[in-house]
Amino acid sequence: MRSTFGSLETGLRALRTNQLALQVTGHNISNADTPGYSRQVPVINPTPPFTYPALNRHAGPGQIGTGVEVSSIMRMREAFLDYQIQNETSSKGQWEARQYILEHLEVIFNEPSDSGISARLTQFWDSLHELAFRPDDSSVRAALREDAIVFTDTLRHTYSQLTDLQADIDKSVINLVDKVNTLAQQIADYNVIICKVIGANQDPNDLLDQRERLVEELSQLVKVNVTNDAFGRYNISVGGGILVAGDSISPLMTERNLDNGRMVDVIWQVTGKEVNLTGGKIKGFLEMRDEELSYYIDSLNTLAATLITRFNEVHAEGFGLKDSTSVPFFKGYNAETIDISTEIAMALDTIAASIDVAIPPEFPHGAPGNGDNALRLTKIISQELLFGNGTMTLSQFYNGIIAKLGIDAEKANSTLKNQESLVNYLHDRQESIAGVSIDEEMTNLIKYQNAYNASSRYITTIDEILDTLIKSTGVVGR
Amino acid sequence: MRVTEKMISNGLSRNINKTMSRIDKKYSELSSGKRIQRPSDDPVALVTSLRLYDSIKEADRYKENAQNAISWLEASDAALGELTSVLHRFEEVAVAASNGTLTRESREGLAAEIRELKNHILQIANTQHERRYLFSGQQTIRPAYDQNFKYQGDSRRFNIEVGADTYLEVSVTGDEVFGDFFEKLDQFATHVDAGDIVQVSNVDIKEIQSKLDQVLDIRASLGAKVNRLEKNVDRLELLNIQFNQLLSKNEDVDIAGAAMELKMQESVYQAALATGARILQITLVNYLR
Repeated sequence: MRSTFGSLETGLRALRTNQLALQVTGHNISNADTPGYSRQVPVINPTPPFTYPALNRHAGPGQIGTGVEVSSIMRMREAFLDYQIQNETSSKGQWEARQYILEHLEVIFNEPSDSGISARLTQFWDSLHELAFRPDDSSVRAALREDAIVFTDTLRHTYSQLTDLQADIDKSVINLVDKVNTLAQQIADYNVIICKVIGANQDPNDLLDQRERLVEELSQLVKVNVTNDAFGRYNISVGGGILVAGDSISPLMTERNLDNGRMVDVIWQVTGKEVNLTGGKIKGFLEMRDEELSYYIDSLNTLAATLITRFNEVHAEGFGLKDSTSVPFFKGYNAETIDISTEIAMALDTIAASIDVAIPPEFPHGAPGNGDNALRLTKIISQELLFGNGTMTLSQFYNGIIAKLGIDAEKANSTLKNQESLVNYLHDRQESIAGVSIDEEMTNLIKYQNAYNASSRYITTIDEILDTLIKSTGVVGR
Repeated sequence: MRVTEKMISNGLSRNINKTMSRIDKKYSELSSGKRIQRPSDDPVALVTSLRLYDSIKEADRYKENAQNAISWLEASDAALGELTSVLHRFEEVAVAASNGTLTRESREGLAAEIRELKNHILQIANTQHERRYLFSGQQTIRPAYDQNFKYQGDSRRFNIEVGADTYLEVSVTGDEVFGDFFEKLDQFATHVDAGDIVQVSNVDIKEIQSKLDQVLDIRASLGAKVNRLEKNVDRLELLNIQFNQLLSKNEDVDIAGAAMELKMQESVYQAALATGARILQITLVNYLR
């Protein structure tokens, strides 16, 4: 026999269930635009049925339903996509760093333009030719000196912009490593709570979403490998070392490397060993700092050093207007220090345009109208194969640097674009599963509201039945 | 596939961004006229451009050198032209002085004229072009001859590079042109003064005529050089036009094409905005009581 009031309980369960379902729907609608939020779905199941015994069989006419309950609230999300997103985000982060720096380099070199190193060098070469024709004209000498100053200034300025950029990247790495530690700590904190909630046999849906967002943010910075333990905690390893192990973290730190211009290495705080990063923004920055920027800095230094040495060699062989000789034209030894020499800065006469012609007593060696040495100097810039083991002229060498920059930057631009589309696609796939659809939620709202209303009507019906039973039964003859 | 409002709005804003950045690129291309603003815009074309810049700069320079040379040669020729007319006058003087019937006064007058013209030749020898002495060899900052008619220059001509490793001698030294002519003139004046008709008609006239021939030869060779340089300038100008055409083809914006593309992107942009405005405001909510 079923109890008299059993049907009321069934109605009550329906009310509770639909109210809860409405609550979940409301939660979904509230978070429709929350980043990282996964929609939640109430898993609605019938409660265990009641078996009605009979005389000739122990169970029959059948099991009688007892109503409904929400057995769990499910989080709609594809974990596989999360792993893919983590991987591709790391790669995207790495290319983002490269693209950002290469674009910056393009701005620094400012080619093709009228104010880049190339244009300044050509101007200098042009003035040398003018000097070769008018070696006795002090205004031509002054113009040449001016052009040499502009050229050396441009080289030094470009050099300092490159080293500044390198230092800025270094600072970014320090900041990003701090951020990695903060994120790792936050993930570990979530691990603690999630473990407790799962221990209490509940679904920490929103907490999982929050943690997933942090992991994605982390994977932007470093390439991570994420595993899940039995208590729903994430263990995260970076470059083969453990960063997050359940409740605790093993933080990274930065240490100045004296062998690398006092720039920082990323190491494990505990072991002091270098972190073997394989992806992410930090890896991208480190690569740019140590490989690419060093290449451009070294190339500029090679250019400056080779030019200074050879130019001074030829210049010293020549003679100035007042028979000065063995005077260097440039001073310094690389792109950071290159400048016109003190002698040239002080006296235009010392510019050695003339070769040794040894005739008249006033000009025992050079002749004022002789520009042959200036002509030799022009060849250093435009014709001598001074670079790449005697295969390239100065301008070919410099053009090669710019061409490499162009190719690298173009590759970074297009790879980043591809990587962005890939990550967007994966996010869209995840959104397709986890995203809140207002239409869907509104439909659910109608569905649950109607079910709630119908259940209320059911309770009213039972109430009327009971009313009839209690108040109107057994009153015959009253 | 299940599609949510967020996917639509994300997709829309991504596409609008993409279109905007294309429009931005077209704007900067059209406003600068250049297809390559940064090396990454087209690295292959950039390398070609850099090479062309060098070639253009070089051709410009050699053209300028050639023009410098032409102006120097023309200045020299003008000076030698003046010398030619003076030599012609000497010829006339010599013919006149060969006449045995001349009076003493006439002879003295002619001798005085010779000495006067000698000074004029000194001036010619010390002609300056752009504040530089034309006939001092490479001692361009001092006069070729001093007041005592002594040569102060040297015998080095100077070369101008008119093409990569191609040189042309453009100067004529005073030594070459005048040599011991001043002394010869002194003798000439003395002969005229003394009425030494034999010397005047046998020696001096020949000296003057051979100098005249020599100067004409020099002027002819200067003229030939000017011709050659002018041809060179023409060639370099043509070369530069070709280089510039190549450069323009390589890095200039195809204005019509870019404008078309811009127009197209603008239409895409407008369509995206219009679609976004229409789609995104409609959900089921709009149709519920």
